[in-house]
Formats: sequence, structure tokens, C-alpha cells
Amino acid sequence: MFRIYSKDQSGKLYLSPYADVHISEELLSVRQMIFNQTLTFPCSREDGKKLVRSLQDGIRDEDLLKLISGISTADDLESEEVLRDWIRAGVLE
Amino acid sequence: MITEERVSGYRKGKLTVFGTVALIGESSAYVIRPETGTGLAMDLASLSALRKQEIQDDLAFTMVQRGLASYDRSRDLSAWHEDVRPEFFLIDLTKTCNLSCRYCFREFEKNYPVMTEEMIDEISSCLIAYWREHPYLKLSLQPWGGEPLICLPLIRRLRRNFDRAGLFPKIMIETNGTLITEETAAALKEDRIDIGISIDGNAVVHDLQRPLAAGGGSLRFVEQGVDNLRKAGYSGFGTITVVTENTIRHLSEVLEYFANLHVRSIKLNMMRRNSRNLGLAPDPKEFGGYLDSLLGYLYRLYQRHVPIVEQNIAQRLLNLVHRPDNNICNAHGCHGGYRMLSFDSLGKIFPCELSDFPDYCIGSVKDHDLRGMVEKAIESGHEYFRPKDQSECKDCPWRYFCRGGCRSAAKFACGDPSRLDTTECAFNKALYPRLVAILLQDRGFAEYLQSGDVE
Repeated sequence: MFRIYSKDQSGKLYLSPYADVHISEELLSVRQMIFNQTLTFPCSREDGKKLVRSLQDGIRDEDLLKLISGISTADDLESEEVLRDWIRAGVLE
Repeated sequence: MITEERVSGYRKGKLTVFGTVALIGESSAYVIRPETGTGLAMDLASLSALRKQEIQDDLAFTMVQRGLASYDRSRDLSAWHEDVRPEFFLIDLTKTCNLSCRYCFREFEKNYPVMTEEMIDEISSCLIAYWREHPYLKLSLQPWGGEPLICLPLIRRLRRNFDRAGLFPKIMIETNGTLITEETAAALKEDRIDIGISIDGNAVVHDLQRPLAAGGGSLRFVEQGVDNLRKAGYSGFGTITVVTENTIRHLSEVLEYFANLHVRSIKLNMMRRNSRNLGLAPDPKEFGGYLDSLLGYLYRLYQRHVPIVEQNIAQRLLNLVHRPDNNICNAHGCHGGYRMLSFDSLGKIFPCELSDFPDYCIGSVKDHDLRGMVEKAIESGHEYFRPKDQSECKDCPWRYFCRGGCRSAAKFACGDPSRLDTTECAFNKALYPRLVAILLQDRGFAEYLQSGDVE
């Protein structure tokens, strides 16, 4: 989770190190500890793990949108809204 | 090694970049905002841009997300408020002990009674009522002493009381380990009691510092207790060690002893000076050398794939990487009263187990409104809760985590809990830069220091 920021990472989104992640059978739940925001995202445990792994490694926003659409019933507009919510809550950086 | 540099804050349009402290290594730096304890590691090119106040949008975005900058007054991390929500309770069963440790700070008053069964029932009722009123809390209970196992029936009674109520708090003890017979180990296991054992290391150090009250070394009894715990099925217990001048002198043997004991978790607590044994407490000037030796030895254990974690180091690394605010003493200063309370054997309640000065009593077991009790003490300006004087901390990068240290240690040292805990201060100032250096240079070792996990 610890990363050293450099220009090479520009354009990718990462999971905030201040995000406390809980994955259950049907829900990904993330609490952003420094801004005290909590978000939930309905998905299977496996998909939740896949999503978190991608965010830990860094992912381009268009790829993240595809990933979100692929593991939920959200359409493109809803996926973009999910992404915006996560950014607003400080879960993504 | 790491160099420290202030980086000024600035405003550019709607972007406000806060003042930070940069800890600079060979090819990268860790930038921390002391007010919030949030930070970001970056390469030196990014640091250079930050110094010149010319950061690009992508770095600005990351800094906003970490509370190091704000955009159009987007969020304010400094509006932090600490709630009173005690979750960790110490229960002082007895001051009696079968050891006579040379650094012990407890007052062995002859008229201090051992807790009665009626009192443990009353404390159980108080905590059960409190928990039912605040079911979202996670309660942890620690019967302690003196030596808590002198009162094993009370510990078992405490568990039974909660079992009967259908509530299952974490119950843990820190014991000197000498009284753990096979029967005691089986009873503790049956009652799901977590165990921490006080061991100061190999026989040379341990027996010198922790002799039996009746005379003679205690280590062989502790080792027998450890064997009995393992026979009863315990594997995950940790150890607590008081670091003295002797420990520092024999550090490599002490750590090798723990590695050979196959302990997964150790906690090396720096001894604070007290009036009884001034000569035993390490001088803060020695902390740097001590930490270099400790980290060097842990690195060798890492290379040998020995799974072991030192909890003081792990906690501070967690602070740097995740800022979890999860520790009552070391994550964001002292949370005595706010997150913990201590019951004495007469049912009097104190903000912390180390603050059992008579005038620090803030209530009694008969009062079930534990939160209200603390809030009232805070509002009335009770000495324990007075804000820490952090005038000496204003330039310190680590002040979010330390906040002037332990209130009780300051009270013991100079009679005023709002003063600086000089041991904690010196320890943090010595340890954090070393941990930043490890984070920047060797992430594998940093991971190991946080968890003790080996491949």
C-alpha cells in the first residue's frame, strides 16, 4: 500500500492509504478515516478483492469505469457517479 | 540518513497547499503535515516542484486527498473532535505480587484491599449496562495488578458474568507468567483469556530485574508457564519487556532469546525514570543508538525469515502509513478517559490505570453513566484532562502522533500531567526518522516491521 509518488504514476487512480476496507459476501465497504466518510459498493467477495487489488496497483480511470460496470449492474453514467463519489470521499487519489 | 526541511505552504488560485515537513532520503522524501499526521512519499523531482510552488494537477489532487492541501476550501481536516467513548477497561484486582521488579512503579499500600467477588460482580453489571446502552462499542477488559493471576477466580468470574449476559468482550491479562500451572493455563484457555507475558529477556537481564519477592530468579518459572500455555493450546501470546540500561547492554542476547522462544509478538517499552530507580532508566541520549541496534537486529531476523513483530515499531509505522488512530497511548497522544477507564478494587474509577492518585478519581462503579462521568470531569477542568502544553512541540513533525505523550508519566515526573512526557518525546524523535528512512529505502523490511510476516 505504501507508494512513492512520481510523475510516472500520473493519470492513475489509487486506493487511499487512509481507507479502511471491509469485504463481505455481498458488499465492499470503505471508511475513509481522515475525512470520516463511509462508502459501500454491492459486489461479491471475489469482485471486491479484484477491485481493491486493482486500486492498490493503480488503475486508469477508464479501466476502473469498465471494471465497475463489469462487476455491478451500473450503467456507464452510474459508474461515473460511483467514481465521483469515491473521489469526493477521498477513497481514491 | 534522513535530512529534515520545512516546506512552506502557499495559495495559488483556489488551491491551498499547507506547510509541511519533508524528511529527505537519497532518492525520495516523505512529506508530513504535523497538524494532521497525514503524509505523502514522493520522488525528489516532485519535492522540488513543491518547494518551488509549481506542483502539477496530479500531485495537487493527491495532496488534497491526503489533507496536505485543499481546493476551494474543499475539506478541513483540522476540524477534528475527539469523542468520549471508553472501550478499554482496566480492573485493578490487587496490588499484591509474587515478584519484586526493580522498576515497579506501583505503590504497595498495605491497606489496599484485594478486590472482592461482590465488587467484580458490581463492575460487571456496570459494564454490561454501559455496553447495552452503547452496543456499537467493542469492549476490551484487562484485569491487572500486582499479579492478576493471584486473583484467577475473579478473572473467571468476570468471564462468567458476561457469558451469562450473552456478551463477549475481549478479556486479556498481562501476567508475570510464574503462576501459570497446567491447570491455570487450561482454565485461561477455557475462558478465552488473551495473554501477554512480562519477560525481560534472557536470564542475565530478566533475573536481575524481575526477581521473586522471596528471592531468586524468576525466569525458569516463567518458562515453565510458557510451556504450560503451549500445552493448553496457546500459540499467539505476546511478551512485554521493560527496556532498561541492562536491556540495552544485552540487547542482541535479549532479542535472540525471544526469537528462540518462538514468540510472535514482542513489545519493548522504554522504562521511564521514577524516584525509586533512577539509575536503571536509559538516558534519552541513548535512544538513537538503542534503536539502531534494535532495527539492525530485527533486519537480521527479517533476513532469517523469523516471524516476529515489535509492537512499538509496528504502531509507529502504521501511524506513518495509515494514521489509524487505533492506539490509546501511541497513535494520537493520550486517550486516558476518552477511550479507557480503570476501576480500582473499591470500585473507584480513574482515567487510566497509571493515574490512581486519590484526587484523580472521577467517579464510582455505582454510576453507570461512564461517558457522562468523563465529560463532566473534562468540563470541570479536572487536572488530568487539561490540554497538554505543546509549546515545545510546535516545530515537531511528529506532534500529531505524540501530542506531548503520556499524562501519567508527566505527572510522575514533574507533578503536572499537562507537561511534556520527555521519554515519549525523545523516543518518537529518535524513532520516526529512522522508520521514514526504512519506508523510503526498503519496503519489504518496512512491511515486515509492521506485521512480522515472512514469506
